[in-house]
Amino acid sequence: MSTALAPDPVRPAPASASAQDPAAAVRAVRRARARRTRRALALLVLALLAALAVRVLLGRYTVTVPDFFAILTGERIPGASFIVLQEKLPRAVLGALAGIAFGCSGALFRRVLRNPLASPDILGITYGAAAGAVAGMAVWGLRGTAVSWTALAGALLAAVLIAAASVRLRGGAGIVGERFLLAGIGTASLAQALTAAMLVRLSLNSAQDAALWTAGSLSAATWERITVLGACLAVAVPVAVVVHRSLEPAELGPELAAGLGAHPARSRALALGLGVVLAAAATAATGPLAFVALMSTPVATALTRGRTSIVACALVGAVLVVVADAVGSELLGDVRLPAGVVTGAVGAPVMLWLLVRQRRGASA
Amino acid sequence: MSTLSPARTTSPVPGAAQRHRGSALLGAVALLLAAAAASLFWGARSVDPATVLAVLGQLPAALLDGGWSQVSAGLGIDAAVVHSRIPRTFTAVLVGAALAVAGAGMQGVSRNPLGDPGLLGLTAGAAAAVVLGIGWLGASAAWQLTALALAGSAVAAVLVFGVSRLGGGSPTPAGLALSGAAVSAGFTALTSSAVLAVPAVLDRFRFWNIGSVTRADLPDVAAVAPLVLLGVLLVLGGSSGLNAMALGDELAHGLGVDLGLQRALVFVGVVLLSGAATALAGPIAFVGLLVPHAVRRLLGGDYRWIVVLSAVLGPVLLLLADVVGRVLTPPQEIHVGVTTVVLGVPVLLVLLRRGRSVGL
Repeated sequence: MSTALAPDPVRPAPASASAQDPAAAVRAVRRARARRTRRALALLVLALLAALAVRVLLGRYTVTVPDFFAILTGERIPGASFIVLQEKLPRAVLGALAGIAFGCSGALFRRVLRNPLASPDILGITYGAAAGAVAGMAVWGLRGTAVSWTALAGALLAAVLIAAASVRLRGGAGIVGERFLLAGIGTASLAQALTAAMLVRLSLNSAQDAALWTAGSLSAATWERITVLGACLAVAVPVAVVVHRSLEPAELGPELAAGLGAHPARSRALALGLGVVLAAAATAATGPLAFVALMSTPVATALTRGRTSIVACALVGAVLVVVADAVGSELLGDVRLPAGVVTGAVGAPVMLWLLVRQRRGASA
Repeated sequence: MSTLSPARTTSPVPGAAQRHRGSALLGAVALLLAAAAASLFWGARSVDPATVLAVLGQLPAALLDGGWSQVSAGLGIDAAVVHSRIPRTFTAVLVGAALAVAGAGMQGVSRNPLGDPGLLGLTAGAAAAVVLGIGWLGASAAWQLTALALAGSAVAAVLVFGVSRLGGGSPTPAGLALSGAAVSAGFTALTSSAVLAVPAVLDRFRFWNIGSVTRADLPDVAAVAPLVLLGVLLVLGGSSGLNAMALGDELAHGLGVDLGLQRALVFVGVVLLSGAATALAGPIAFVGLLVPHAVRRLLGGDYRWIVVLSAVLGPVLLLLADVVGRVLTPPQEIHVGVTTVVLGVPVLLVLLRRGRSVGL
């Protein structure tokens, strides 16, 4: 009955609105889009909470919800307190933070370079971090937290190399993007060659540590690392959100964006710099979690249907990392895999899909 | 006007270019000999040139006597050092020729200036296939590893180029390079997963994954040499087709060139060459990018000559990179995989800056 009645009052409304008042029609479209984005964001927040809950409460050692809150408020439960506070909770929180950082970084790179494959894990930033970490182990014999600092130095060095190679050219903003891509690819292959050459010098045990490091894992999560990374993100993420929004016209290409009054050169450089810092900080804390930055933007765009929201990208990244860590460390029976291996296995097909889709788009 | 201009443009050019080409080829061969000599005489340990000559003089007789194993047994340290330089010189020659010709072929087939087996992920594909083979199939013989490397680079080539055919359009140079980097990153992720899941693999694989000419021994070189020769011949056979392709597909059809066949020839040749080179020396990038472009600047765009000269000059680049890596930090040696990248990245950027003038 309702289906029979519904068309009559509804159908004339949009037609008359678009005919008489285009502004109202545009507003309606915008409102619908904002609603879609809000719904996707709410969904993602729920998914992240669910993933965190699964990671902390379930697995080999299950914790009940009342116990969990009791532990959080300071009550000591033998065994459970230690496992939750020193193992499960730090891993979950660090994973979420790293995912947020990678997601933001990927979204910034994607927006500036306008290519779905241009992400910090393909353009050498995370490879630079891995090379820095392996160099720290092989050349200076470092262990533990000190390796994070050489990794950070490696990532920043890679970024400086890329910037030095791509910034010099005056004018022609589109070419700077291409130069950045190629300099990034070159830096990636340099970092990989160096990593391989140094891996040979290590003893087998250290080489295994280094290989674990170059894949990326959350097994070294400590509250200290969480504090450092959290402080970085507290500063960088709000700026990233603002910059990402201000670059929205850049999606149309540099000429149109300049015509719309954006300051492309300055905000593009700021966005790339922020993206590098976010990726470097996250990689220093967890190692390069393969393809998280690459995957999060297209997945988020698919969820919000058409509009890229950096918050959605960050949330997708966080969900990906937490779920990957849960799967790798708890859900595969006796095999324990680091989170980076799981994200790599999921990310490779996504990357291929992007490759095919990009080519289709290029020909159309 | 129309009767004058063809005569003016065609008559002086071919003769001059041919003289030019002949002398260029001679010069390249001389360079190759000099580079090979440098590779034998220089190294991390300085050896008296007289000793080197003496060792080289004894070589033919000893080889006739009882093969390579007979030669290296029971000699002084200096002689042993010289002996260790012989296989690495041969490896560098073979791998350099293979990579340079593969790069020329890729640039021709994709009509894209950034064709290189390392940049476009073919060597990463070969490495991933080898690590999977070591881990799960228990492969260890040289021929098994070579076969795996060939299969891996074929898969990577199909991914990078096949996907681009699927779309129909021709991607921009940077776009193709990015696809290659993405495929390469995918294979790297796969490799590191395998290495972490099966720890025993790591110890063998990490020696396999450096780009270095020191690993292969003379029997390995001899086993791979026919593959490289076949690959060079295939690319050379397709090179007149590459010349036609450079004019665009329609014009090539109009000239009566069977594009599908020529493309397939070059494609198979490129896969053979990249796989064989990676099997011998691990992933080495940028040789395939640098050498054909240098030749193109010298001699212009005729692919038959680009392929021939690349086969001669590729070894020169790799030999020199190896010698520099040996001499720079005396007790330690820098692997060629690192040296070639350091040389290659600036050239990559210069090529991009000249941008569309490097039309293929």
